[in-house]
Amino acid sequence: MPDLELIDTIVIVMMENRSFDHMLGYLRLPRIGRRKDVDGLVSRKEAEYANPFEGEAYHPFHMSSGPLPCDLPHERDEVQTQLAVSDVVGGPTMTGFVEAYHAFTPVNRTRRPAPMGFLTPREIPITDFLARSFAVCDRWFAPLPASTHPNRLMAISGYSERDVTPGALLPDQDLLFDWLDRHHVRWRVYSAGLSFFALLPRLWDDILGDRFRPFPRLFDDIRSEGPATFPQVILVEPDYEDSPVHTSGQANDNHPPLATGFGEQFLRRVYQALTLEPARWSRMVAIFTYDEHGGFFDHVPPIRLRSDPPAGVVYPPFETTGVRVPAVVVSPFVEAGSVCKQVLDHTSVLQLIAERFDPGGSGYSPEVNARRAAGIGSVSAALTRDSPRRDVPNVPLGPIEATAALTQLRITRSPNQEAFEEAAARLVEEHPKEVAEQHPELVAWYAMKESSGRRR
Amino acid sequence: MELRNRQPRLLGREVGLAAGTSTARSRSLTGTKIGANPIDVRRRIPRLLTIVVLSGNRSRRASASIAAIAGAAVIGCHPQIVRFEAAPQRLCANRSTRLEWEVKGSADLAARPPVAGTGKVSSSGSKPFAIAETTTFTLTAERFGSSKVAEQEIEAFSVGGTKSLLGRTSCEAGAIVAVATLPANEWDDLARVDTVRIVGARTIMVSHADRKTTLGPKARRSEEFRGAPVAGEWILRAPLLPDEVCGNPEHHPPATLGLTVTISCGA
Repeated sequence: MPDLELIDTIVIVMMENRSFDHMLGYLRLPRIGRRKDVDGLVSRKEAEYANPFEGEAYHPFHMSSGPLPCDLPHERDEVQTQLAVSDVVGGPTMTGFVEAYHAFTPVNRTRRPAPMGFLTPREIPITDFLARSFAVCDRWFAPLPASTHPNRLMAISGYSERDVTPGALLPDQDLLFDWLDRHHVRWRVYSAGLSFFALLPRLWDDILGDRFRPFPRLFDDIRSEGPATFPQVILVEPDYEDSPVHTSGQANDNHPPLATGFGEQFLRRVYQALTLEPARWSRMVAIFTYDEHGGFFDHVPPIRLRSDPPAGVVYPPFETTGVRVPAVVVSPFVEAGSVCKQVLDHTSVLQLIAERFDPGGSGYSPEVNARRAAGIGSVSAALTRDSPRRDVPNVPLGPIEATAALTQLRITRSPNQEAFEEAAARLVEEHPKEVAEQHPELVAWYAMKESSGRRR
Repeated sequence: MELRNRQPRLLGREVGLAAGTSTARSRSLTGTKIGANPIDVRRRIPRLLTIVVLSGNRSRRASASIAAIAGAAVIGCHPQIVRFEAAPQRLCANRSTRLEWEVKGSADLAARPPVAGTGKVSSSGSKPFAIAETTTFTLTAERFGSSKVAEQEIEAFSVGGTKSLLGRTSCEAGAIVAVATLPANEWDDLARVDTVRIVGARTIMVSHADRKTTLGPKARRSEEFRGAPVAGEWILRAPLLPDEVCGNPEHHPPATLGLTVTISCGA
């Protein structure tokens, strides 16, 4: 592990709703990835992976990049079905993904149900490039066996007041941004669309201020901003599928049913930005991961780890982590094509931030420390080089194909879509002038929404 | 080619976005000029658009147009697929399945490979279709320029076709038991068992349709169930191995048991 003082900037890129086996399971397949060091899919017909439904066996298969027929189930009770906890094995069996899917969308019945699909370098060339050039973490789990809000709250707080994603704004928790402010660490968010943090009203002034910037400005800032003001922690956000507006013209967060090509292009742009200035890049650690598995199959059972609700909040405790998600540590401090086997989850990033920016402190928080004591390590476990690599791998510049749906493929509007809409509407209503200047597309959306409401 | 006769996945056009340019060039996916008549385009908004993103920045103009089309498509009353079912879902080749559907909006039924009798249908109904091979039926509901799609794949067996059965295990005294139940309404009653076989070295006692056999390392395949319907309850029972302990995360027996059925279709 390097002296963490050598790291100036930690970058977090969190995409949406894909499992490890779905995105990176191919790394192990004999004719595709050929990497026996990665805990991916050994073969398509491996008995261990088969999911039963109505007496038949369903196996992983190579799927197209999308769009998928619909979103996949991934709310707390649906994840429980997917995990299929069994008295026989004394834990999750990972055999309920097809059952949960068919209960969710009975009008779609095929021999190749979407949750069992996996992608290959043909569909995800940039993810493949990152996995080959940097460190894959094949024991990175979503913190909770639940959906977007609980897992993103874990990622930015280390605890969650939610166990499900309702169609409502987020609770006011102590956030990573608060921790960073308390420790005088400079931070910034670059968003390709409407920020997820718009769901936190307390952050609206920041979102409309200088700490939240449009993603393209990352290029300029990396190229020209001085070290005294350049952020030490950066969150880069895609254009979320659940947002009512798409500043980038098209969502690119990889949330199903979205095709992955748009997300791949986004990841390429992020990598291009981060590596723009070699000197800056040589002191950087970037983490590319996903908030949760989104309903896709993964063969590795979650880690047994109890997560109680915080004081004053009531929901049944979680007994395990969530499902494994793709995670690649992209940094000159990792070896090309390496694998990190340390058990990690999103709070592992908070551990790294505390190790780097509060080295003599008592850890990020009691909640994150408790997870550490239970076996969740720090991202620093993936940093195996004492000194930075000199090479900057060249990202593939070839075309990436993506198919866009020109109509709504979701069966119903998701709660997170409703939450985004509420955030967007209230932003416009409470900050009309600033929103008009910075997010004119939001004002246009709001006007259309209001007009549509009046017509009804 | 008439747009409406093509598969939904092909209803689109390809847009190449070149680095650093501010305009998008477009061409049709299959050489068919889509949108030659703007009225046609308004009437039938394509469901999918294939985009080839070249390196570098995407064109703002192209992005905006995608958003505008997508936005236009989702405004207004959404179509809805209330019900789309097929029975049986597994049948012998050249036999019939009955589709039943109900949508809010107009309904269009398509099949891959093509099947006679598909096309525009009423918004609710039911119809039998004879299929010669495994076929995917696609139901598209359209309403005010927006659409929704659902798929039912009907598996057709010919002689020698196989099906992998699987059930989750539970623990009983000294053994694990799995039940794989194939719903009778989803299976053609002509679909009959020819042989059954297991993969792996484990000894499994199989019960089905009032018959029993034991499969294992010495006899992986059996004709005991020949002529029995494939549908119904298959009970698989396997003795615990010496090192297996139910509920022990380190030494547990398997979570599922399965076998493969070769189907005869009454031949």
